Amino acid sequence: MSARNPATFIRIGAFGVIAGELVALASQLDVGPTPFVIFIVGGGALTAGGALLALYGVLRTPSTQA
Amino acid sequence: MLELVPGPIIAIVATLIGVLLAADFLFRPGRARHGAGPVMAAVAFIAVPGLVLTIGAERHIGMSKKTEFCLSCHEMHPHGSTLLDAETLAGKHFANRYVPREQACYTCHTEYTMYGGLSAKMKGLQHLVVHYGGGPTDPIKTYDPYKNRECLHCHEGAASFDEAIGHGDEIESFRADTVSCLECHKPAHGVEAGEVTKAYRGEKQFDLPDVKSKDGAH
Repeated sequence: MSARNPATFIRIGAFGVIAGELVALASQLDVGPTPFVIFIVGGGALTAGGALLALYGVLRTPSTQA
Repeated sequence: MLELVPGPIIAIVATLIGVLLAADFLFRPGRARHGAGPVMAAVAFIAVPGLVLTIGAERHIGMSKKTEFCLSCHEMHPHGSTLLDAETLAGKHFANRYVPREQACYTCHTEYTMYGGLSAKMKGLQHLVVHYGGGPTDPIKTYDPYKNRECLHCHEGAASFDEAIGHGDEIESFRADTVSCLECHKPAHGVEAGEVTKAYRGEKQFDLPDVKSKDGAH
């Protein structure tokens, strides 16, 4: 699995999105500034970063690739 | 419709959908450019994460209005403890339910203007920086002198307000902020200098109202 393989970007990005969404959900279990910061930094940044990476991988994937 | 479904359920369902869609690409990345792959990628990596984060942000913003949220920081404990002191203005409002107990701080410390809520949230972000960046000043001061507008929003026109001695004659002064409500109705909290620092450092414990229970008693 090459680091430049589009599938690698998609896999890492998808993992980031999953982790970010779960962190965002978990942060809502408690009330306070710390869960809020975890939501922004952990949930928001991880999800957004993962989504960008995955979309980059999707765009680099040749349409003929099986 | 959204009010009919509890917020946590919406958040859990949206997250579950988001995780399942992203997991499909995690295990089958090759489908990204096949058939409906690009559309599904847009849904999995743009639409659903956007929805999940929007729902989460809405829930966190809602929770940040709670008294429980404000009092989760130790430095706010001295001010929170005055909610139990009926000699203070804050305590009178809390004891008499002039403010919703679960949103006691937010109700009085948000400007009743078009962008008052947004302004309160921006200040809240500043509070986060202060909280994690070494602690607040002692005593804590409001950014600007407290405006009568916030008091009059609820009290003006109320029988108890209109009938009180001095209110009727001075109403224009109150509206113009040339006479502050706090001149007669102080102290707002009555927190002594040094208490905030002690609370922030955990050197002193304060009695706090149980704002999770319905009656708000401690």
